Amino acid sequence: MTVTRLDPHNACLSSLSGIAGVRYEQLAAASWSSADLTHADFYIGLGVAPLYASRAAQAVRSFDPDALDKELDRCNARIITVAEDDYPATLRHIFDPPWALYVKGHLHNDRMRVAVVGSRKATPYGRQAVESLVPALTEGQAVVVSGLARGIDTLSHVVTLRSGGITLAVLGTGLDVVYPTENSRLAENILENNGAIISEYSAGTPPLPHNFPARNRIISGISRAVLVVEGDRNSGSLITAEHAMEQGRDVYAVPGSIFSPQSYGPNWLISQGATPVTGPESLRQALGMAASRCKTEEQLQLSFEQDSLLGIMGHEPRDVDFLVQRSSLKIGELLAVLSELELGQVVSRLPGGRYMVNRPRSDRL
Amino acid sequence: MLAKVWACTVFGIDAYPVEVEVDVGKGLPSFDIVGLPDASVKEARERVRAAVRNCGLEIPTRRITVNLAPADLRKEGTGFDLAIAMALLAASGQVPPESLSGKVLAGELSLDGSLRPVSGVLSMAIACKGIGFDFVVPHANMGEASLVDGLQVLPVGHLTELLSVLRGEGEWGSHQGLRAVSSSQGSFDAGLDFADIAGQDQAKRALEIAAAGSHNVLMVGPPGSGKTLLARHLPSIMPPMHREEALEVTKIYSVAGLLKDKGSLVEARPFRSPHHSISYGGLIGGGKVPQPGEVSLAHHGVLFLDEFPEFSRRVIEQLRQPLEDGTVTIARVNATLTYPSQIMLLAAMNPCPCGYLGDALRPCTCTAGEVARYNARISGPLLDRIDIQLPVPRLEYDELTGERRGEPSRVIRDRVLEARRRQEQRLRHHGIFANARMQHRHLRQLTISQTAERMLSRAFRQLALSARAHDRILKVSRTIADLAGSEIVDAAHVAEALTYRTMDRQSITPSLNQQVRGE
Repeated sequence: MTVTRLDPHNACLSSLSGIAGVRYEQLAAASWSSADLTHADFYIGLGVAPLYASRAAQAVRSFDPDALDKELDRCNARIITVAEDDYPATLRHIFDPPWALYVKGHLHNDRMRVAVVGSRKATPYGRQAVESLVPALTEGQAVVVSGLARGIDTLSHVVTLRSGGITLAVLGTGLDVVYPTENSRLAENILENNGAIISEYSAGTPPLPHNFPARNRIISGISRAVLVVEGDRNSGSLITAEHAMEQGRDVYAVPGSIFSPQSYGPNWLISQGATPVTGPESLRQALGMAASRCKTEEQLQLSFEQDSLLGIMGHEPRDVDFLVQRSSLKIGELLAVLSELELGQVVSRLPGGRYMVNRPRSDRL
Repeated sequence: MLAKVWACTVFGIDAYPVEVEVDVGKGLPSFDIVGLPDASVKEARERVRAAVRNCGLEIPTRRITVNLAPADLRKEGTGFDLAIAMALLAASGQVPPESLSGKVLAGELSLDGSLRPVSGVLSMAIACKGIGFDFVVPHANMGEASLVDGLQVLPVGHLTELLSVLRGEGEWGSHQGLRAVSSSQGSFDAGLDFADIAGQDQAKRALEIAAAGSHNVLMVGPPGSGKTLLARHLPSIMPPMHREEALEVTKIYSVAGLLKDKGSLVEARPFRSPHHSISYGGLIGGGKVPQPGEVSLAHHGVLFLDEFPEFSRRVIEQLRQPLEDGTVTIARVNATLTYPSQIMLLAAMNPCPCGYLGDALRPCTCTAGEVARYNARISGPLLDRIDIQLPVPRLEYDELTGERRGEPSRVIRDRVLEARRRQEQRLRHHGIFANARMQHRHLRQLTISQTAERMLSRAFRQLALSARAHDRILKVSRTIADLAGSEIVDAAHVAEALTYRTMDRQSITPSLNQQVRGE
């Protein structure tokens, strides 16, 4: 869809994307024409700070619909302004919704969206948490929203896709700039699997540091709930959680060790009143989803060696020496069994040659 | 008067016969050496003059011309002293010329006329045998020269001793007891045993596979995890060298002047561990006339490069040719030489600049970018030539101090030998001796079970392995099957081989870039 087909009234709004948020209620209540948008006073009247107001007026004055058309064609995206029906309703009612969103793919406004966020430095524990919790979301037909960053974000997208779900990525860059670059293949995969990538920034916007906290308000804004998996004291996921609380979203957190810096964030959130998630079942209950029908673990056919090895591994990352001491297998056989389990995606190999069970059986406790 | 005597010059690791011609004629008294001699050969003039005089003989005060033929081959080294002196004495009628026929002479003269050992004697001895001559060498080189079967070696200690023999007044010195000299002369401590290393089962297993199939290995682990210790123990499980291999290695060491006690066969596999500040010439070989470098000194043995990414990129990239061809060619203005370099490369590195990525206890402080840059110092093409990529984790305290001891090296070596024997039988008609040397066309003829095939194709999709990784995994699987005594590569063998490909996969930090759509 191109802008020329848009209501010209709305088209101008798109030029405001990324500049400042709008109070949607006030915009909707005010009667205005396109000409009003070129005056800073109009924005001040809507409660926008004077600095942003003059910038916004300037942007509308220099708005060029043809250039926008070309830009959208180039990155094969469309733009949805705050005044349009396609614009996610939940996002529209936050304190400062983006004037417009650049979108590639489907937003799935009809389905429940749940954000899964966390540290860029994911630990093995965080990875296990994502591996066991995200499939519960996709089974419950939720769309998983995250930020395409390294670590937990990437894992959330990957695990969603692997379990056959739909996922949305909210970027802090232009849609044609994927950051980090190694995730460009993942971004394609998200689109191929009926998901979307979203940004409030125009094409070509580089990964500026201040854009990322701002995009976090969109992650929580388009979601019904936010699940914080890991994050240290300064983590961006705490900003997302804060936005979520301001926006009145449910905040869920994965409790962790008091000694792990990456679990500081979620533990602190729980102390502030966030709901602790103790397993897939508790997440389903919190979101009001039906209990699981699918018994993934029972479907796996494990050999005797595989099963006994999993028993030895428990839920902690283990190195090969630990396993060979405790199992009756010879080293060569042990490595072969580990490799088979890895191919079956039952265990993962961590850097440093350690192995870890992907989904510990927490709900059985 | 004119006299001719044979000597040898070493070029690369081979020696070539050189005819030393001396003419003593009319003219102003002089002593010239022609025929592309280098400085050390020209200096022979002074040594010969003094040694001859100090033995009570005479340098004729006439015009003396020494020619080293063929005149277009460069001559270097001090081994010509003896031949020049004897040719001179023959030309001036002080030694019967016919007594020198059918002999090749090598040796450096000291000013009192006694003989000093020279390098490259083994190569010279092989050349002598080739032309069917006897070989006169200094006593100290006797053992080395007698390594060549069927060659008459005549040891001398002093110029006067040689003169009296040639004049028919004495006998050649006996060399009883010298023939058998062949001490072990490895650069590793023969007392090392794998049984002394606690834990590290995966690493030991991987080194066993590497030794069996001659696979190159890259060990990745935090500081203090025992990478260097493991490397030093590797020679203790490698099969002993055949005599031909030992001779080749001895030749290289002889040419490089590195035979510690002149006169022994290098029996233990070489283990070379150059420091990471090594230069291009030091690793590959170099010099005005190129000398063998570390890759050649490690021929038939192990080249251990600790702190692999710290080596200069330009230097380690040069390893590609030796690793691929088993030879290294060095071109200089004066000469282009090819040295053998069939090595097993054993490299070790930290997982990241701080060293603790993936460590169980200490967190890594590196950023994703730093880790990526660190790993990028090792180029893809080089990584491709390394079959086994091995994580070496830091041991926990219990494992270090535990009672559990490993298998002794002797037992592991027996398995390695058995696996080598199987490989040799299977690969003999291809002209290769170890699985690591198999080419793509050899791999296509492997017998591989259907389940193994399925596992391999599944691993491919899931772990996003490269086509090159495919061949490497097959080779390692084949070696694992050999160690298990199996003619067919089975699923378990492939599964184990997959655990030795860590660098092909992405880990959770810095990035997780798996093939998202698996099965």
